[in-house]
Amino acid sequence: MIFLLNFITVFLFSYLLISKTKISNLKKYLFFFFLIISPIVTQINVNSNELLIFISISVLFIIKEYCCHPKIKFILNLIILLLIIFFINYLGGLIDKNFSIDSSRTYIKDTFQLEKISQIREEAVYLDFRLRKYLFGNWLIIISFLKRFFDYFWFHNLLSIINIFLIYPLILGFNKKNKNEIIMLILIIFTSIFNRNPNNFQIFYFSFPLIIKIIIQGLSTIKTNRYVK
Amino acid sequence: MLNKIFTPLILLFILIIGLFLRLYKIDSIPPHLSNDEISIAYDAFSINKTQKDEYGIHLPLSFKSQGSYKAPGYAYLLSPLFNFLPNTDLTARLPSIIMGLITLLSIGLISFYLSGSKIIGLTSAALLAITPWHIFTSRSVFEANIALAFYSLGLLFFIINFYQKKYNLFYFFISAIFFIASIYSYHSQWLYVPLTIIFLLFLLNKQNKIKFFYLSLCIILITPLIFDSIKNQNTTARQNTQLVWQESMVAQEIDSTNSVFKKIKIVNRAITNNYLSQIKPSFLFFEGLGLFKKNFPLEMGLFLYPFIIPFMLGLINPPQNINKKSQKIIYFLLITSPFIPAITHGSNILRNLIFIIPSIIIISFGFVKILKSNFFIKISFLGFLLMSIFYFYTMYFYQSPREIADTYQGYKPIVHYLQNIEYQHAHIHYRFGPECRFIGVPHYYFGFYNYIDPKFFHNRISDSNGTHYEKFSIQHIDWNNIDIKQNHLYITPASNKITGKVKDKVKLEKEFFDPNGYLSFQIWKGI
Repeated sequence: MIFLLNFITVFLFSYLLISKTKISNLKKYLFFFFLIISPIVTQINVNSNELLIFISISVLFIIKEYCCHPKIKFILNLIILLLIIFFINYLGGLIDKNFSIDSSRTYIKDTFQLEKISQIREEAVYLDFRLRKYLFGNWLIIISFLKRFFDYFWFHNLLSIINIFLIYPLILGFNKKNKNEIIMLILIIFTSIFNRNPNNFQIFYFSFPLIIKIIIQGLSTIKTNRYVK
Repeated sequence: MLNKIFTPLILLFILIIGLFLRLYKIDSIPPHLSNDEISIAYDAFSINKTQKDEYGIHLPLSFKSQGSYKAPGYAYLLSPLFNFLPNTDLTARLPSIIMGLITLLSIGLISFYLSGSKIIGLTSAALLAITPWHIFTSRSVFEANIALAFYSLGLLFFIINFYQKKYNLFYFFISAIFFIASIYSYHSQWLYVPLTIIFLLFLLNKQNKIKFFYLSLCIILITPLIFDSIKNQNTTARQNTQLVWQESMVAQEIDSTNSVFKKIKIVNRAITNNYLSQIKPSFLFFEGLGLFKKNFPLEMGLFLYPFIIPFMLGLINPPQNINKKSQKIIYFLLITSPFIPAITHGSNILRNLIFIIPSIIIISFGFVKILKSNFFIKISFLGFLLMSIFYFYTMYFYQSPREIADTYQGYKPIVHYLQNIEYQHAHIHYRFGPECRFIGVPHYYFGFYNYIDPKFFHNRISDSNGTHYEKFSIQHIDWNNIDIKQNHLYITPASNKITGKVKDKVKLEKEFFDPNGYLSFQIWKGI
């Protein structure tokens, strides 16, 4: 049942979105073919809560796409962004049942990393102690944080949602036309990795509407006349 | 903009910086020559003295070493140096340092020819001079570093032709020699160099005579190595064990299924994963160098942290004036170079070293764009860059030797100590580290630093008690079952604690501590 509902949502959402874009039928067929064989359809393993969240985000996204008023569009974008961030962190345990942040689960409280930084600070006797305090401060955890951030944009994670052949239009879609979606995606990933053990699948599952929008835009920029003569 | 005097001065400055970063504390960082490094160094020493390797094979084209069948390039480059230099870590690492500097020049020139810009050429050389990946490989006895230098020279002399009015056969001749020298230097180049040559020859439109000349020359030059590989099946057998489907997990998965389709799928997945891992941003810019144990907060990437910004800029928005041929060469190198490490198992920063060429070129594209941007962006980026150079410097030269001290073999200070005392025979435990976890190769260290005549090595005796040559025995020292003899030395890691009745028969001669300050080795003397 969940599989079926998920399939219908993915298909319907993508259909409504792609029908708004002027692209050739060939591209549409290819897009749907690769979408249907994507892990989000074939290897779906979600519970009913996750599916409900996914459906509501998809519906909101479609409303936003068909809405003409820029202010409402902006507000809907904001709501979608906050909803995704909230649900990822709520299901991931970073936000507890009292709606407060469980600081022990945040990455910046990673004791192993902080202990190592303090060890470096103590052992750096080649530097003046006043300098050591600043140069080897706890703020260095930002480096590990950035590492995690860039890792999330890598193909390994994207391939848990979409087929490898959709990566190319996705890369092409990273342009100014999709500025909002790209910023939203960056913010979602940035806030999600505050969690020490984020759920990779949830992050990309809930962000699927944004990803598919970027893919469709990317698809429209591919010049088929280069290949079809 | 850059005149004829200014350009060589900048280049000289870059070379001085590069040389300093590659020579500074070279005798102590990395603390010792590793297993592979010392075996190459001893083979080179042996070739110099007897024209034979450690097994007594006359001028081999494949060095058996510890069963790894190493390519001959490094040993033959190092060998003549022992005529006028002592057996030290610096001498062993000298070919790598020199070839590293040559690589700075050649990649700078490749960048210049591909981009048509002197600034991009100089930027590439400068960025490579401070790149952790290249500093790391140039400071060790790595065959891959030599192969990179030859490969970049081969590529340089080939592409020079594209920018001449007329193709010059001499450049093609030199290019072929360097490309084949690269194959002689590192086994991974067996696959990648032919692929590059085929690609480059495709770029030579309708030049069939040149193509024929170039290919014939390459075949003639490679023939001795091919014959040697056919004759010496062990070389190819060793190379085959490195392929991805030989990796234990993948091999297990393949064995568990009978379907050919599934087997192909498993191999395909392993190769794809390997390929993506090699070019993962976190691997390239944040953790690839592996100076520390896992999850260390200040682990270094193959490139400095801030290089990720010019890399992305250069990739998304390369300079407009680059011609199509240059673009093709850059993207060919960028896309295909990680294939070799992808089809072999493990995430190996040496097998992927060719990837440094397109990456540095792309980073310098982005870097020049940043230099042309507004003052605030420029200053912020340069500040960020200086900070990251400082962190690399402190982590590489101070923190890393301490953090991974227990994984290094401390045989060098022991050898130097033994040179100044009198003893009849030395028994050396073949394992080292905490709980004797690591298998060492002490016979190389004692042979190399003691200038032991390779003839002793050729006639060494290996039996169930260990390996014996001159006055050294490399063996397992079990304190409960050892016959202690007077004036004999027993060299063991601190973790092999002395027990039982032998305690009264020996006295502690000397203790050795690792860079972390922990006791690593002890010398006991029979009384």
